[in-house]
Amino acid sequence: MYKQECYKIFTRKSLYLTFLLFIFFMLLPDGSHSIRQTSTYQSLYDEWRGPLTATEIDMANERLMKLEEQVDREMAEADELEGVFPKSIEDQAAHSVYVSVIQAGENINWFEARKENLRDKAFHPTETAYQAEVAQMEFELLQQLNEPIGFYQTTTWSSTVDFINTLGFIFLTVLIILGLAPVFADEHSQKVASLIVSTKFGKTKVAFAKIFASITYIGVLFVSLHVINVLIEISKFGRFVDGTVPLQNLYLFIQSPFSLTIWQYYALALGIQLLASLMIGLLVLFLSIITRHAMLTFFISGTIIGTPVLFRQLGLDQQLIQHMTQFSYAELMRVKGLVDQFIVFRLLGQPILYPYLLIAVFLLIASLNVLLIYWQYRNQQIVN
Amino acid sequence: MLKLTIENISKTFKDKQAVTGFSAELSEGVYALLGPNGAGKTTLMRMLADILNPSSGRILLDGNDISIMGNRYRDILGYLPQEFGLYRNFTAIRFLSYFARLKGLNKQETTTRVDEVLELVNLQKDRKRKLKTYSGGMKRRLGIAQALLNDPKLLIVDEPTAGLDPQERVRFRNLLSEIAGDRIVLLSTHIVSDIEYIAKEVLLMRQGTLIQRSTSEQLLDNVKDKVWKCTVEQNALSQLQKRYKVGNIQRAETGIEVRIVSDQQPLADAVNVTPTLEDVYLYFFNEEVTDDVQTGML
Ligand SMILES: Nc1ncnc2c1ncn2[C@@H]1O[C@H](COP(=O)(O)OP(=O)(O)O)[C@@H](O)[C@H]1O
Ligand SMILES: [Mg+2]
Repeated sequence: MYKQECYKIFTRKSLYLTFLLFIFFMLLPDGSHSIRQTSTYQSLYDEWRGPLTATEIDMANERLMKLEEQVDREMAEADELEGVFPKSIEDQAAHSVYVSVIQAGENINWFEARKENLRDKAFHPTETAYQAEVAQMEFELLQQLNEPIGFYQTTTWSSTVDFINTLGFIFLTVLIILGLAPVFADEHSQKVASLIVSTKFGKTKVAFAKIFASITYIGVLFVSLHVINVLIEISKFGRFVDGTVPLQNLYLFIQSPFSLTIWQYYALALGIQLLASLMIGLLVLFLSIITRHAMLTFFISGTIIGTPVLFRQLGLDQQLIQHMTQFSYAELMRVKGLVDQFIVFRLLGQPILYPYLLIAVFLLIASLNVLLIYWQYRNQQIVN
Repeated sequence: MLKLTIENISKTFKDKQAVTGFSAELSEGVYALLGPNGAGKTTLMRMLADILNPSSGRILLDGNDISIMGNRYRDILGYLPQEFGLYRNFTAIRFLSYFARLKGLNKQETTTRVDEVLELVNLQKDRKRKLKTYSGGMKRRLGIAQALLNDPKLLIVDEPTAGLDPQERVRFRNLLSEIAGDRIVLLSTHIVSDIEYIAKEVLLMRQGTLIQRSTSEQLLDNVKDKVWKCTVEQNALSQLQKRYKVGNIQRAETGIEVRIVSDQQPLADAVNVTPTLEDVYLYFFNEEVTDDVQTGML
């Protein structure tokens, strides 16, 4: 039964076409990494890689100043001002390293200031007890981060991690909805429902066979998409280096309070995204049962998942809408928002970290969803 | 001996009463549910197939309510709906194997049983073809094969001969009498010739209710001495059709030969003839006996 349910899903040509189309998008080139292949970059990288000392940052500032003087001279001597300055790629590499190091230095200062500020809040009597508790919580998280920011080569990782909350999120969501919307609905449109439901296991086991086949589909889809992405990232940006450094070295996670290395985050994010994929799958299956219509299922689930994203894009930030966005399938599926900031919710007077609350809420929704699917399926009436 | 009891069941769709207080008790044998389109046959059968809940009333198998029996009831059930589809990308083997598993057969039983039913409906040589290449008749046969997979003690087939050509229809009737055996077979139809030889009893259904239940011979008693035959002019025909239940019309040398079902002698020169089941149908349902109404299947 399970095998045939898988067969039904995996023989749909449109899924393969969509998948290939998405792979094509992923193959589109973005950026160049020629700078990182220069010897200047390599030697500077060897010199400065790691947490940065004040001397190193000063040195970067000095050298940048010199380089900019050189750029000014180049520009004065040049016949026309088109193109990139400095002219030589080696100098360009040096420029980009200096800027990164200086930026990292600023981030380090900012991070220390943030900790200082939190310490004040946590122990200052003017704050309410709850606010002090929250500040203390954040402070303690930050304490666990020991010199998190430095100079590292994170391009490949950064792009790979980014895939999860951008294209990966979109492609997975679309393919899950596309693949699973017909699972229950098509039995009706193909007029097979009455045959199935009148069999011994047609009201019970078959629902689970369909759920398991859907999980299989999601698993296969998830693994292939991410494996292909990793291969593409490597071919675009070179091999993975510096995965063992703190997550805060990725630009998007600079504010994250969590003590995770980049690869740990990647593994965690994959896990959460897989979980989110399964939950979206359950949502789609449920809609597939109650609408009995694949297209309708497609649009309703698209709306449920897409609306919060749209709100965010539109910059709507009323409290209610913000909460709606925070507790949406899309946000869970993108993972990034769970980790990139310190957010707590007050639950029974206690601060609870947003990612824990979000995952707990969705685990509850998912279990409810399974029950609803089973109940709806069992009690369906066939009238046409 | 198996006993199916239908206890005063009704089904209402919004404001439409499709089945009204239908009661019957069936034991082993072939039963024909005869009635015109819209009589409620399909609705009744869906309730018997446990895919639609009655608005009121109960269905009992050997005294047990089928809604409580659940899959123990469906385990002995074979059902062929009036309208059904097949997975276009499946082969016959894959399709039947899927349903065998749904019906609780294990792997081994599935292999042998699928083979047997394919043989039974004569689809052995087409078993590896994709179902989208199947003709209407082949689809019907596959449908009946599906219904027979679990060797059902209760077989419900809804207008199984609709959409079949006359030859296929005969073959189907033979198949049905072959498999009848010691089970309850309930067959719905609005085609009289389907039931003539195979049905042990006929249940006449009109507007959601059971109006009569009897053997085919007893049915004929309803119209005993009420079937007439006479020859009339062409222009008298429409007048006649307005006043009487007119059946077969045949062109003869002397005019038009008509068959009329009527309590009184319709015309002076009308003579009594031996009734057939078609006359019974005409008598009860007052409709032109259609030889086959193509139902939009598949
Ligand atoms: N799903 C439904 N919704 C509303 N009315 C229905 C539905 N199904 C059947 N009916 C009505 O119930 C009556 C009986 O239909 P049906 O059981 O299909 O009769 P039969 O099979 O004898 O042709 C018809 O008048 C039909 O229009
Ligand atoms: Mg019908």
